[in-house]
Amino acid sequence: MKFISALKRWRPLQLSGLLMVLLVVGFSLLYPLSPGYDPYTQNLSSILQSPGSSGHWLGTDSLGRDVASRLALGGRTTLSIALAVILANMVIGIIIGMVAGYFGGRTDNVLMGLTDVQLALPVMLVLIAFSAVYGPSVTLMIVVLSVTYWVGYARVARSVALSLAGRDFVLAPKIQGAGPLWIMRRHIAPNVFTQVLIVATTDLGAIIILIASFDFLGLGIQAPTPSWGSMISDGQGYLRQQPALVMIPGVAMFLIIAGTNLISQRFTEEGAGAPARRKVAA
Amino acid sequence: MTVVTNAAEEVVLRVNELSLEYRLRGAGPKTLRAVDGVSLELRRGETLGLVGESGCGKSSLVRTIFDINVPSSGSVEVFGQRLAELRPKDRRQLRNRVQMIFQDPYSALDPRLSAHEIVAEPLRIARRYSKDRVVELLESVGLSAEVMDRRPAAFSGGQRQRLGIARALALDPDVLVLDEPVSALDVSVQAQVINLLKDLQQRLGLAYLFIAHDLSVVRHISDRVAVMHLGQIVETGTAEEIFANPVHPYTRSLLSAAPVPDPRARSSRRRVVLAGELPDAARRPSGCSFRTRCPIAQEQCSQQDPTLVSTGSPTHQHACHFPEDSQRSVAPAMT
Repeated sequence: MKFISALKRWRPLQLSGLLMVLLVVGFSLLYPLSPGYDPYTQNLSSILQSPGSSGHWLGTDSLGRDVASRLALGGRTTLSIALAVILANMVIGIIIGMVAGYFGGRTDNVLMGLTDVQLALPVMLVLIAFSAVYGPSVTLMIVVLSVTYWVGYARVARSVALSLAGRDFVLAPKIQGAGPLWIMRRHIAPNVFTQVLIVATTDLGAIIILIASFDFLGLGIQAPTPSWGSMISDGQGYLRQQPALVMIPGVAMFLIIAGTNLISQRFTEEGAGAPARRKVAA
Repeated sequence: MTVVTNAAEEVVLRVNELSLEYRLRGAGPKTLRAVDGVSLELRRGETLGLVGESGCGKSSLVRTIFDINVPSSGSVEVFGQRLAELRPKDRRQLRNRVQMIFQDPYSALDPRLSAHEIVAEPLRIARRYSKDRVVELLESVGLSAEVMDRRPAAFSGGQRQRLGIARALALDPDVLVLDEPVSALDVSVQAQVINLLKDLQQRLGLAYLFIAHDLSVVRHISDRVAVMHLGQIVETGTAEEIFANPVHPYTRSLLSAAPVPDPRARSSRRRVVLAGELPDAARRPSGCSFRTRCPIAQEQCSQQDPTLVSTGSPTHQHACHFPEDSQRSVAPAMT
């Protein structure tokens, strides 16, 4: 009930964003349960079928595999990798940012220097370099993405921690014997989370694009496992015969990225309201 | 009022020659001495009022007492033991006997926590949590157990300050440091909170270090008073001595600036309006730090920094080169 009443504050565009995300996520999760689901079986007698053809409502690819099934499975892998990557970066960023902001001084300087270094590293090049050495793999992509995208979280967490560190309600438990871990966990982290969530929803789109582009380049998810990036990459060879092969995963990506951005807009508005609502004494 | 026994004479909190320097960046002076050789003594069950205008170092002193700022020299003793010399575990135990009430009841409570959690927090930190104890604490400050689940936003300023007091009492302290505990509250609520504090003091035998700039409140609650100016104590004595017979020109001008409710008394008094602001602590005047604003300053004042000396009474000390001049020509005492 609380959720529904919260939804009433969403503006129509933001609601449509939620709908777009739900559509893609719902399809990816639910379609594999349907009887026609089969992302791997090839049928070379019916390749490059158009959407709406018999038995394949999104058509078939160059090997006659069902596009709808591959889209759903690709969505599952892409989205779960994106979520895992975001989560990993969130944890790293929040810890680094809170420690930097709470302790300040030299700790702050060192940690924020580290984030600048990280910012200077081009993710794509790092991944290409590692792939050249170890061979491309999903694990490698996840690992590289997990440690190269936390700057935003660190900065937000730092600024929240910095602004709270001097407040009396943080001082009070400190005087009463609470250690830094206690204070960060109980008094700073909850305030950090709401702010970080905004960054996370904004980042989700960017991460999905990154994953898709890695897949497109063959650096991420490996064939035959489908992913949106590799579907686009496979489809580009048949752009003239069957443009749907590129358009379908493209539309899915558009929906999820535009959708998360619209949702993050909502979170930003709510986040901006939350800390300011506190009454400030003269 | 107080029965003089040995226990009542016990010094619970002693501050020895405490100084705090802040390091400054940029051009100009390199350090700022916010607290300058302050010594205080607080006995069991008594209230020491600490008075001074904004920026005089009251809050810095408090922060140093609580180890939030590291003193550049001097020491803090609790029950005769120097905190800095103790092992961490013993130090924490002694520290817990000194607790703090904050000035602003709005920023002193985490807005995300319920009243229950706020009061329970020190108990949880000390691993002594019990729900009964929280209820008992809430009731001891005049809040009912029914409000436990509410967040600070649902409370009035006075109620919040009560929550802050309950939190400070959780670990059975012997000393409360009250940093302007009522100055953020409405006048009508101030009296209630002051009465609660007096009541708790009698019931629990607490000693108060009561920091304020409202002299009438200080007079009402304090046994002894110390007057602070630019990081130094310039006069100290019993409340009676300070209010009836102030010596230092700064104390005298402070008292003359306090509002007098009786119009007849008001018309008969002389006021001393100090020239200028509190000097920049980073550019402290030579000699007596008050001389730039002092109506009776002389040559000697710029050369020699006066130290605290006794007047006639052993409890009454002041730091002024010319106490007689001050008493003769600077503002009459508050009546």
